[in-house]
Formats: sequence, C-alpha cells, structure tokens
Amino acid sequence: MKLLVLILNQVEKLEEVLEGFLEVGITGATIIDSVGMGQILSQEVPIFAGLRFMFAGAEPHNKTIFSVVREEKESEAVDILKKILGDLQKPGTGIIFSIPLDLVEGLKPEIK
Amino acid sequence: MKICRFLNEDRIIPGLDPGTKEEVLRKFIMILNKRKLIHNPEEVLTKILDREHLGSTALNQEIAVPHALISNLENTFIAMGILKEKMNFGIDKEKPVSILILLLGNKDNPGQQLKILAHICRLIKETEVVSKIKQAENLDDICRRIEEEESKII
Repeated sequence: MKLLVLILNQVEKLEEVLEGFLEVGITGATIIDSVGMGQILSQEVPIFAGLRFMFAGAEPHNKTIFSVVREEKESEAVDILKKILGDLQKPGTGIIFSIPLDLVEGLKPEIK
Repeated sequence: MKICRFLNEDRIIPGLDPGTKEEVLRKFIMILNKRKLIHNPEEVLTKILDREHLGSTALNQEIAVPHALISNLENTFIAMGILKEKMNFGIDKEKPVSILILLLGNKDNPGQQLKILAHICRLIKETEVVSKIKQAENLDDICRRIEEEESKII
C-alpha cells in the first residue's frame, strides 16, 4: 500500500480532485487545511517582505490530501490528478508524492 | 553561508551618529563609498530605502538588516555599522536599533540573499552574537566574535 499525498494549491479544484479519486475507485482521503512556507515567510516575517517574489505562486492557503491506495492504483490516481491540475512544474499548482506503507489497518474496501 | 566570510575590519563602521533612518543610511553608505567598497551609492540608498518602505528591516536585539538587490554586483556585499546611540528604525512602532548590517545581493541571484537573511535571523535568535559584538574591544575582535557565534549554529 502507498500513502499518496497531494498538496493542492489550486484549492478551487478540490471537488474535481475528489471526483477524480472516485473515478479511479479511491473512496477515502483525509483533507487538511495547510499553509505553505513561502506564505508564512513573506506575509508574517517582515524581514523577508522584500523577497516576496521568490515565493511567487504561493497561495494564501492550500489543502493537503492524504489517501492510502493500493500500489497498482497509484499511477492511475496520479494520471487523473495531472489531468485535473495540469502541469505540476508550473508554480502554484501543487505537489504529489507517495510513501510506501508498512502497515495499514481500518481501510475501507475500494469500489470495484 | 557565514557572514564572517564577507566581513572584515574595513567593512565595519563604528561611531555612526544617530538621526533619521535616511540620514543614518546615507552616512553609512557614503562612508563605504569613500572607502571604495560601494561604487553606486545613490542607487544603493534608493533601493535600500524602497525596501524599508515595505516594512522595517529591524529585528530584535537592536539589529536591523537593511538590504537590497543590485544589478551588476559581482559578489554579495555585507558591511556593519555601529551607532553611537540607539535610534528608532521602525515605521509604525518603535524599533530601537544600535547595529546595522547592510546586505547587498546580486539581482540575478536573489536566492543567496534569502539564505543570508535567514542565517542572520537565526544567528541573532540562537546565539549571543549581539552582546558579543557590543563587548568587542576592537574591529578585529568583532569579526572574531561573530565567527565564534556562527560556528555554534553551523
């Protein structure tokens, strides 16, 4: 199993992302409100105010979405996320990564 | 990215008279210009003051880090000014300052300025660098004490 993590800067696309998960059979995810480092540094630490442009693309808030998925489901999920979000290399889009998991309990069955 | 790498006795200006922010920065920059360390003082002053208008660069412990990105600057430039008396470096509220660290970076490499600023912030918070500077016996001693404090966090 894998923990698939998406840091979503385009928060307006959250519904599409969750619909995309459903389309590929992922029925569970945890979503938390999050804030990027650039946002905190450029807005709340005055000494860095002159270098705000270094954090271009930093949105005021983002969402971090965690989902435990079967390994074979990972690439399908990533493909649909890329279709929804577009080019992830573009600043302010989002970050996707996954982590292998040693132990998973309590996961609901996926949609067949 | 130790700041002691960029500092030497020539770049430390003690005994700056307090005044308005612009007066003190102008004096500081003109002294560096006379020492041939800064070649475009008016551009530097304008950019430094533009940055100060965004918000004061005063940190805690009576230190301010006026900074700017300059075109055609070969290397990062750091100089230190020590005021005879504390002055207010704040905008909306009082920010007493007695030490100025002037930081100039190359416009094409803003990342380096960001790294040095972050390092200075951490140095001030995590070490006794400010009191050590104030206790220093001479300019060479200032450099040595900064180096000692920096070695504690790097």
